[in-house]
Amino acid sequence: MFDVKHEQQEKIVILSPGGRLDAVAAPELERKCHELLDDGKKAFLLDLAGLDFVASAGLRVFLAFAKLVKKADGQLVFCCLRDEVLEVFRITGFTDIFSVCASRKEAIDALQP
Amino acid sequence: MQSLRLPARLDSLEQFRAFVADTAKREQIPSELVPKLELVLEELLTNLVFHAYKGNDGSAEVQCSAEGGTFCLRFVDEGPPFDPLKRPPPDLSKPLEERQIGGLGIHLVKNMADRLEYRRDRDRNILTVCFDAKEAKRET
Repeated sequence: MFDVKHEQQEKIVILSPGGRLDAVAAPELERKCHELLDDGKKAFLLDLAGLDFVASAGLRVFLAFAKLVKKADGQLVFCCLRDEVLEVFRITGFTDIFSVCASRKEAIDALQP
Repeated sequence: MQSLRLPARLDSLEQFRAFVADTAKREQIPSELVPKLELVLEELLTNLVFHAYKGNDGSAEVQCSAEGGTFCLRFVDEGPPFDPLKRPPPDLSKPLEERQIGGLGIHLVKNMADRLEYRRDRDRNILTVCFDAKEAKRET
């Protein structure tokens, strides 16, 4: 099962995907990301606290989204990864190319101009 | 040895996942190994669906075996010859702008597994992925 919620906190869009981000779920997250970008949003926080599982299909969405956000001069920060998801980020070098924070507060501070 | 053969389609993933989880539980595989098994299963099956059969009809068989403190998953398909172990590793040192989208699945599989073996047997690809599961044996 997968779902993705989003909320706006001042200028920051907080996206909270929950459940299993596998090849079946990845297109749903991709659609949501594109919608928000097309809407002109620039500051994104991906709160992964509810994400139990991520496969390469999900990583692919994160990477493509990050590239688009960067192109649009926006910012993207991750927070609150569970151990299994953090392990996948480490193995794939995602912790080197992304800003990964331990808490939501830390992530929101990182996004403030 | 337990096995399950299903059409190589994304909507078979859930059944394969339940099959592997049930077998791992029955064999008393340490629970911390289960997320690794699920990730390997997902990566290899999606690879099969998208790359080996390229959207064409085909089937995938997953076999599970547990022996001597090792739990193995074996993937059998009738796609064109493909040895995922020969794929060059992705360059993880590149900055965001230059990072390739894709190629990370096999890299994850190699990191999760303790042993991997590929062979081509007539018209079939056979990939065996093994995990050390000794803790379970000590507990039982």
